[in-house]
Amino acid sequence: MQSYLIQRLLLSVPVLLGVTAIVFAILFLTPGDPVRTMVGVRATEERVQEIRAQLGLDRPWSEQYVRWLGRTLRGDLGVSIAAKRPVAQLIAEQLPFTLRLTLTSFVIGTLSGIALGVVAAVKQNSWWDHLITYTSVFWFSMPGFWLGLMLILIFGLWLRWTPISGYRGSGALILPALTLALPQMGSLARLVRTEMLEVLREEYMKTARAKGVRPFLLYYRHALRNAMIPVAVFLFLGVPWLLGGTVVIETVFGWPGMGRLMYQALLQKDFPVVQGLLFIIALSTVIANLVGDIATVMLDPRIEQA
Amino acid sequence: MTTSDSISTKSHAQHQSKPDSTDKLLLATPVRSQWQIDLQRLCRHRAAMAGLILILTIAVMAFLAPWLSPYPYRAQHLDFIRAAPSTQFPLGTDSLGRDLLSRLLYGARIALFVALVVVAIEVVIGVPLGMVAGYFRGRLDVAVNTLADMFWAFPPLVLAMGVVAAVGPGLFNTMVVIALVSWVPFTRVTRAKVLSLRQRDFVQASIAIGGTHGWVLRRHILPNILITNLVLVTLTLPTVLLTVAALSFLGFGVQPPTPEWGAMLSEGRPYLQEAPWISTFPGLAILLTVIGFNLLGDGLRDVLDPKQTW
Repeated sequence: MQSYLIQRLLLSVPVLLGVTAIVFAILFLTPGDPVRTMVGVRATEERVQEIRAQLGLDRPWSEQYVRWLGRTLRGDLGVSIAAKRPVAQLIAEQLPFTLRLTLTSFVIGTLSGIALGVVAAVKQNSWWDHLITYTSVFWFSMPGFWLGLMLILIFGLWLRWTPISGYRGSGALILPALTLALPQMGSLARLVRTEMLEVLREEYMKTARAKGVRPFLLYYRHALRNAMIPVAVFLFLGVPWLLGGTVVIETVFGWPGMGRLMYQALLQKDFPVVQGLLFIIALSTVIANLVGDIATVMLDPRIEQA
Repeated sequence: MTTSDSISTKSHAQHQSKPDSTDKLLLATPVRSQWQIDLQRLCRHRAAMAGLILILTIAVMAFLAPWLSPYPYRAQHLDFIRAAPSTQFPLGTDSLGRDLLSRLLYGARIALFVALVVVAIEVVIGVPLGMVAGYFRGRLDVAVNTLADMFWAFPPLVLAMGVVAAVGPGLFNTMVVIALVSWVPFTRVTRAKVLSLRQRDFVQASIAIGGTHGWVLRRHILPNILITNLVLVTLTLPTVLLTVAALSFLGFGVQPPTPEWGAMLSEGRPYLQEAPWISTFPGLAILLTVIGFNLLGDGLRDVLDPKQTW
């Protein structure tokens, strides 16, 4: 166990270095002068020089990378070109909005996905099962931006039940949260169904049924709990990707947050902000992978040998 | 060493045992190859058939776009700006007076073309990496895994947006960038498959009698990872379609006036209330295509590769 932990930790060091290299390299993919791209053609030469010095672009790129890596790892993500404020501060301001949105959608998506998956598995090959299986495909095939627009059209413009954009009040939260939650519900329902079917075939389920465990306890305590390990890992690993999904949804709904910050930074070619956000997302993925792998081994010791 | 080794141990040989040859002679039953068995199972899979029909319909419509579309997709009808669906314009017109149906049909060409090219690039990058990682293991495996983890640390859409913002948008850049940020599943799946194949007797035997690495990889490993990758291709196409459309919707992918579905949808956004059809129909087209590929991919996996769980 201990050797696995150490090995796993060591393996994430080169991954993290590689991730920072990708984030750093993005700036150098711009054809021509990256600083000109960022500040625009009408900026004065002094401003260009100022930003170039601020980003350290007047030095060789290897030195730049080491310096950039050093301060990034210390938590200094640089200064935004457009807002002229520290990137870390900008992100910290937007984070609560993104968290509120993603947590709400996560709760809706997870609970409904698990419930649907369990029903489909328990009533396998029934009318319910087919209905749930086909609607799951429908939901996870859904382009999020289109779903968002359709929800705005139906509930915001036609029925006038909810505000069409903004972030004030709980009404404004419903549509963006649903837009993120429904596709997640679809893929989760399918996964839960598969895992539940696997568990239901196990011998210990037969034993439990034979000794007369009530159906509710049978399915929830004996079956669902055992089916939850891969489901939990799937959910956990999906969190950084949920952050990715917010770029589209926050833009559609005008919801303030990290996703919209990313979108605006990209439009303005504000690369320090883009790099800062990419780094945060990638860092959270690497950590989530690490924790997910370790948790899997701890929950199911058989895996370590493989 | 003959090729019959690799055929007889094909990964999907587990489904049904063929009747042995004497039975065939005696009963005069037609010989059914594994292909025919699989094909028949696929034809009985209702969801897969629904997906296949959906995809074929869209593909035929894309192919016949010049003959099916009522107007040239670029033609502007200035007296009919944002006209509602009617007999003259079956799906209405957009804010430049262009016929939506014609643009959707040409959009199908772009969607399918882009998705196929992207997945082809992903296969070319991902499968060889997975093969060498799973076959040679050791340091090479660690290196490939690290590379895969690096790229998979970013949600493809977000990384693609970042790269496109740097290199500039457009059809070509969109395809290359999306492929470069999302080849990882092909490496992971191929590697896992090769790891298990390597333990099999026919591979061990081939190595034992002195087969070179190149020979074993080409002759014994490659034929046995084709099915798994075929399923993965079918299941990756819908993801790519969604990523391309999202990227173009946000303005970082294929640019107007190219009739790309995501870009068309985005053009209709300001007129959501007055002219909802401009955004509704392109989204519906994306949804139907994605559903088609997902249904077909799930069915193919059920039939060809039942042990895979991704």
